[in-house]
Amino acid sequence: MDDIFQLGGKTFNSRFILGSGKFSLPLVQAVTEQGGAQMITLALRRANAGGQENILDFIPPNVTIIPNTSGARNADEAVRIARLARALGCGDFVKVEIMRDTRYLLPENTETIRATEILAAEGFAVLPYVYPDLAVARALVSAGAAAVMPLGAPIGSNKGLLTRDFIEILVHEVELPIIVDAGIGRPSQACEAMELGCAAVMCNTAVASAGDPAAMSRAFKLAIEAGRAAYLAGPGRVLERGAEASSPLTGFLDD
Amino acid sequence: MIVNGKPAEDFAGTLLEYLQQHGYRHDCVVVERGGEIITHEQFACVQLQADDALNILHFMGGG
Repeated sequence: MDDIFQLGGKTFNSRFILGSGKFSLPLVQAVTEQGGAQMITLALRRANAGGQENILDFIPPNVTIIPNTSGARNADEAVRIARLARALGCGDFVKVEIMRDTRYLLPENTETIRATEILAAEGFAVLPYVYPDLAVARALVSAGAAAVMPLGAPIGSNKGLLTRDFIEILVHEVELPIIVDAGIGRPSQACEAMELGCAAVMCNTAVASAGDPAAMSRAFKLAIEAGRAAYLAGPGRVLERGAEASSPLTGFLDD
Repeated sequence: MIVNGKPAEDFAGTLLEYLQQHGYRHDCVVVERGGEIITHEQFACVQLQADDALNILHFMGGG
């Protein structure tokens, strides 16, 4: 059975969203291919005169571009960046990230809701990056978000699913894809997020800071696929206490 | 003019000519002039002025 992932009016087979920061340009291509990623995030920045190489040259043509609004400190700046990014002609996706806190890079949830409302009304497929909070997630649904992207841990920390229980609440209570973004440091953590029922996982630093980024990208691909398969299979129950033998306790030495 | 936040020499010509002469990949950039977005299709129609403030933007790696 095909397990497709629908997001923002598009259909994907991969549930691995790759962040493209901290890589050399040729490595962007290698990690995208090895990870089988069909979505990749990019940032919008001032261009230097005379620069001829562009990251778009290194992204395989079947990969969907998701511009982010990094650098935005409020909703108005995020909207400005999103509109500029869309004018580059790479589609309607935008990952809204708004931060004022430069130490922990924690998202401004209220401003993110406001930006989501404006951009969704303009036809963007909005992927808002937020701290996992049920009330915020419900507000994002009302604002027209295409998904909710809760953080697992602070950006770039590789600390894993520190917010696991709160992400699980979102998975159960919110009628949108939940995509864990930020903080995932190991394939096992990506797998765990998928086992919880998250729709996809986004990683950047975990791959970029690996000894062999391309190989790590493939490891994430496999882990995300495994976690998704486990979720669909329905994980077994957990005993509150005690044990339950897997082998029969009778039939040989018990007499 | 101001280009990407820094003073730049005035330029008599279109935005497309400016981008080409300064080595920008015009198919990979979007320009903001005085808060207005200028798309690829408009580059050849925009005559630059001495008081223009331009942001020339492109995609780069980001998470």
